[in-house]
Amino acid sequence: MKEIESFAYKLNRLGGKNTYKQSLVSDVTITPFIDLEIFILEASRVFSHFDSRLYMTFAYWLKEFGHLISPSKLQKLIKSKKIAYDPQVLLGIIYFIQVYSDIELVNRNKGNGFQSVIKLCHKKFNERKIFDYPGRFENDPTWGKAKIQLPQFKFDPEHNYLNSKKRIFESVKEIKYRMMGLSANQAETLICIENKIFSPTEVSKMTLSDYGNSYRRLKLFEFLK
Amino acid sequence: MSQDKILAGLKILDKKLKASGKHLEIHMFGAMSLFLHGIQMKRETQDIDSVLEIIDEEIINLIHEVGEEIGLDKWFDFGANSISIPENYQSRLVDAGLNLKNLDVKMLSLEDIVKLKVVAYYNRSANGEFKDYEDLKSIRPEKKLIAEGIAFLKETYSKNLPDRFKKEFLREVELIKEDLEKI
Repeated sequence: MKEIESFAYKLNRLGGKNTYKQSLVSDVTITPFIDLEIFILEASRVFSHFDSRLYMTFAYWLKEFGHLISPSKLQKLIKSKKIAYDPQVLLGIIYFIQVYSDIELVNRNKGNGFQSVIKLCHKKFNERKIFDYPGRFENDPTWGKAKIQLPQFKFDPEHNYLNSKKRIFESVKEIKYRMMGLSANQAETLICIENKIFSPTEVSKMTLSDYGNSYRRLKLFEFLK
Repeated sequence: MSQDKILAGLKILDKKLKASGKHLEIHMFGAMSLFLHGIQMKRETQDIDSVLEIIDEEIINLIHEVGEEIGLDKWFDFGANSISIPENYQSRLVDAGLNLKNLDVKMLSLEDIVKLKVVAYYNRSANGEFKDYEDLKSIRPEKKLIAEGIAFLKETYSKNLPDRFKKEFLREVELIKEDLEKI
């Protein structure tokens, strides 16, 4: 399965209604949860293959849920060098979250938590255009800060790119638990438990956290066994 | 592929209609019809857009049942009947070739679909959305079809437009025309 199809499938699982080809969706390994920070890094890798529809779906997703991305986990993943990413696109994604997402609602220092990630990504970049659209349309200055050319994002409350927020809250636990205030690791551990995964070793591997913390979290939720 | 799911859904719907002694005719447009017209697109579609309004409650329930069975709960767009459709489109309908018994699936002709896409491009590009532009690039319509699409756009919006807005509208239409002629 192409990486972009796998990404589109994940975006749909996280509430998107994109319609990029997902011809081999059944090949996707079913995991108990989609790691949102890895999802963002994957997005950066496949971004240059986006069409307009996939971009709009992702942009709306970032607008609605980008504030749930953990800057510290993102930073940890980047530093681990285990997951490839495109620094220019990642930079653009972070600028986009800072400008368009409801970041102030969650009081994450008005998005300044991302400063360390921005520092990690900052390099000299060349101008990039993602998909074709007539030159007379205005480019989005937010993406422009990362030297990426995309049309000006204009939020339309009547858009049809995502399922309703209520439906996403009810059906996407990765989002639900974070919206309720759990940290990335807490939310993922809880999903592991709901999927009958009780081994600290396994949970620490899945949530990319250390054994001790995984053990403590599992102990905390022991009553759910 | 979700197109395959939709086709399977139409077959299931046909059987359900037969069992209930009902008959339904669909006049399809949108991405599913482009797929059936043989247009190669990067994207898939997850629903059917049909011009005709469905008011029979029993048929609506059958459509919902099929949606659950194929795992696409919104596979049928009931709201699509509100858009402006080219006049006498019925005389240009194309049979989808599905050979179903109680479900008659027809598609708008490619020239009518281009007209609708031009209007959609005009509406959505103002919001920074370019999916219709990409669809038009996939269709690669001849200049004649683009000209017909532009004429349809003018006809759709300029009818009831006060004179003070007409000039601005016609200027925008010229820009749309220039964009599409470069496809």
